Amino acid sequence: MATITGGCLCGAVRYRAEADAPSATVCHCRDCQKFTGSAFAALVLVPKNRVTIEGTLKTFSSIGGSGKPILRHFCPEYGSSIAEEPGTRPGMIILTVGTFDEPEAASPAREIFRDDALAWVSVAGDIPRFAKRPG
Amino acid sequence: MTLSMTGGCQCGALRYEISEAPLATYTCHCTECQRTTGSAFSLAIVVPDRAFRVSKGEPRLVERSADSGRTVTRWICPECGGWIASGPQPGRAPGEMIRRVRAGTLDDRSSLRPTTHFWTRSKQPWVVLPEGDEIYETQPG
Repeated sequence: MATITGGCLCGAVRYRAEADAPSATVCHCRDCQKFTGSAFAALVLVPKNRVTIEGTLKTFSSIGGSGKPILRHFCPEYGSSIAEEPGTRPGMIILTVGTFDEPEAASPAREIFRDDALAWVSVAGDIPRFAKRPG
Repeated sequence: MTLSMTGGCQCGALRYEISEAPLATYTCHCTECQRTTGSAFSLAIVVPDRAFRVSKGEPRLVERSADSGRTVTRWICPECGGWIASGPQPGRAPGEMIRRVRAGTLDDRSSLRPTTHFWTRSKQPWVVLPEGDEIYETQPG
C-alpha cells in the first residue's frame, strides 16, 4: 500500500489517498486532452473510500472517450484538473498524476485511446498500448 | 494548413478563433504546468495577439507568478476550469504582442508538432521527447 498526497496549483485543494501500486494510465482520448489542455492525461485509479479531499472542488460532467458520462473535478481558483469519476467505474475515483506531490512515483503501466494520440507523443516502457480502452 | 484555427474549453462555454499561423509550438514541463494540467507537461502554441479572438463566453482572468518569476495572466473558463490561453505578453520582436494558447483545447490538434521543450529538469522520466528537438533544462532568458 502506498500513500499518495497531492493538490492543486494554488493549494486550496489538497488530497490524500491510499493506493495499491500507484501505476498510471496515460489516456489520449480527446476529452482528456480538453480536460488537461495538453496532449494526454496521466491517471491513477483509487477506491473513493480511500481518498480524503480537503478544500472545495468544482465539478462538471462531460462525455469521456468511452462515450459514457464522466465527472470532472477541478479547483475553481486556477482551474487545476484534479480528478475524474467515470460512469464506467462506480465507487472509484481517478486522480491526475500532475497534481501529485511526487508525480514521479507513478510510472505509466498502460496507454489507452492510443488512436487519438498526437503523432509525436511517446511514452517509455514495455507496456500494453490500447487503440481504444481495454476490455 | 488553414489559417483559421478554432478551439474552446471542455464544456463549450468559451470558444476562440485564431486567424494566423502559430509562431511556435512547445511543451513546458515545469512543476506549475504539471499541477495545472494534471498531466506530465503543458502543450502550447504561440500566436500573434492580434490573431486571437474569443468568439463565445467571458473568460475569468487570474494572475500568478510562474517558476520563471514572471507574472502570468491565465484566461480560464468559469464553468469548467479549462485554461485556454495566457493574456497578451510582449513577444521577441520590438512592439510585438503574443499570446500562448493551450493547444489541447484546439478543435484540430493533429497538425501540432512541438519542436521546443522547456523546464525538462522536472520532466517525468517516462516522457520521451522527439530526437533533434530544442531542449532546455529551464527557460532561456
